[in-house]
Amino acid sequence: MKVLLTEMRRGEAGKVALLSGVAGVWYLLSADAATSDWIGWWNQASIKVQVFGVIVMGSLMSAAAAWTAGRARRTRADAWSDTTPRGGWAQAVLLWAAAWLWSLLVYVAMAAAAFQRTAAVSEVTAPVWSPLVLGAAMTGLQIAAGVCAGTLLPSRITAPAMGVLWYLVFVLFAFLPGVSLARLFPAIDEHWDTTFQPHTGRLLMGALWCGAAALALLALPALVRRASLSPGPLVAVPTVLAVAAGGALLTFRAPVSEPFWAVRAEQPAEPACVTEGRVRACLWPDNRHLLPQAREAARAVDRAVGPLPGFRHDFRQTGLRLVGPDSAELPVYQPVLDSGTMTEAMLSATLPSRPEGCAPHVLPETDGFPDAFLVEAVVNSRAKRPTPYYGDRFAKALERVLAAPAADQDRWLSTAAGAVGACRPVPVPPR
Amino acid sequence: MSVESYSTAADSAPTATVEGATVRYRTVVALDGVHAQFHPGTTALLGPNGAGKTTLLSLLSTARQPDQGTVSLLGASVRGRAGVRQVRERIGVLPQSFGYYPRYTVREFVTYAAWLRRVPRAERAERVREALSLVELERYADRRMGALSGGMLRRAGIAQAVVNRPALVLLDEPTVGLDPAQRIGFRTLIRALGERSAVVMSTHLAEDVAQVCDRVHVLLEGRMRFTGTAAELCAQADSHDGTALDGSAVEAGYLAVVERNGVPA
Repeated sequence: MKVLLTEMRRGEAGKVALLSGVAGVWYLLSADAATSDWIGWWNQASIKVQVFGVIVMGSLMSAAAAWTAGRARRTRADAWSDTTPRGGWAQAVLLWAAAWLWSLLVYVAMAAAAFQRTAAVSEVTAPVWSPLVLGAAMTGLQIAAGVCAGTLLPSRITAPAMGVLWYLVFVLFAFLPGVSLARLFPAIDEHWDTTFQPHTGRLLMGALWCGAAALALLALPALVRRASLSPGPLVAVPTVLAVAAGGALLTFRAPVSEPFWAVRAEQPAEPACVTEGRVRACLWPDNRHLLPQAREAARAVDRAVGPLPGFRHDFRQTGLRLVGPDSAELPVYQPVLDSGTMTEAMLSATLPSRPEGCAPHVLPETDGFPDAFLVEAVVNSRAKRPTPYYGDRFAKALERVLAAPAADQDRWLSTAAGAVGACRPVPVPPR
Repeated sequence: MSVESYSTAADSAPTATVEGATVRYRTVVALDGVHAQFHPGTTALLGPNGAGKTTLLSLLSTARQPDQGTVSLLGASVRGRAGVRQVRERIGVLPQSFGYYPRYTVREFVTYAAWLRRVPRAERAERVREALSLVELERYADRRMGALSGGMLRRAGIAQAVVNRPALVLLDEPTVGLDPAQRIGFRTLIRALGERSAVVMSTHLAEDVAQVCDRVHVLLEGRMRFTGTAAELCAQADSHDGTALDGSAVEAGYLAVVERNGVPA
């Protein structure tokens, strides 16, 4: 333990870890909650820490480990250390453990920063650990590769080469998403909103692979270098585990277009819902913090189309089961939304979608734009939301509908909504 | 300084025996059927550069195995991982170019060496203190290795080599690069070590042999050309008066051995 602490204090890994930690914590603390895609979602917070830990910190720590591991050869200390009864494997494990413990400390600080920010937004406390565990284990594998490379090739360029190599590996696999081999070098850079939950089994299997492969890899220099004592039969344990876990990862199959490391979350027993007039909006329980915005949006929609048949009045966040033809999917792309954005999302969803394969119908009055555009513009105007500008003729057509008597306007909107949903042309706007 | 023997085997038995050892580096024969025995006390390996001294030390340190012949250390032939490990626990090595980690303090570095040499955890702190005391570096225990002078570094090198109380200590040209005062101090230290362990010291400094060593092996072109006491080596020279045992007398004896074997010195 004392030797390990000394190595942690005197080795180069500590400085690199602290540098990565400062960068990581700053990156997480300086993110703008209003535009962030993770602050407020536990899944995403965990993913962010994991991906920064692996791609940035892991690559740097691998380089630092390579540098430290080349030290014995550079200083010629290997001339005597290779003649000691502590074999090359144990020596490599010491360097690895010192660097890895540093990266774990920094990793914990980054996770704390990310979780603290998420806790400040979210109204549920449900930290997600398994991607963090995989990230920590992957960092261990990266550091082990650094130790291995630094011991076998103690050149001054080995360290920077290791850092760059890891980065290139992740870039390469990012461009080849379907390649199974990428699962053995996990850096999960995906968007898991509340409809997903981590596939704990696979994540832990990945962590097992990384840990076992790291320990097996650390034995390699001692097998290659003749002077140092070779590893004992114990090396078979991590090797067998690595082969088994790695093989399992390569064998697992995920449905096409589904993420490998996550699964669809089960339907919640009680979604978080609000009702305003005839409009009801339901969110995943993890998005309870968005209920005030959802309520305000529901009120605006109710004001605009509440009493009108043909429109949809029940909104379910993406992933929640729809409850009938009056039910619409409500996409929520980020954990922090203002009520205006939520209202726009709800207004977009209130008009039934055209059936698949249905070509849009064009109204001559709207200067050639699809008729559904005019319906949407009318709905937005009634909800006092801005509408896009499609030209003067379109604006005139919109004004004409809005100037029509309320009863005529309501009748036209209801009929139009039904027509859009049934793939029929929208009737001529009221005059 | 208390003197305690690190050897546990009967002192009359050789600590290390090399029988017919041959080592080749590609086409170069570094050792050619070398026979030698090393007993408790200090033994010098004398010879010019390239004679095979360092190669013989590497056999004794188990860093490599001979291509032919056998090496027995501490009463056992060194075979298999367990055998090598067991033997290494009782060997200390100080190579010619002593590598160290400059950012470690002396105490940390010797503690690291104690870990490498598998000194039991409970005894480690005491053994480190003992080793630092032997080399008189206690006062500098908390100084960074990178801040030590050449002589102090060599002492730290000895400390790392003896922290496991080895029965066999291998020193490869330990006094090279030291100034005269440091060299005298270092010889005293090596003599003290020789009272505890079998010390094998490669050197080409005749004065080292005269001052420190009980026995001498002369290696020339990979072959053992002389084995005996320092006095017997001195007697190899025709000019020897039979009493002098100093650097000049050793050198004369050594040159006589070289000349007799027709090897350029």
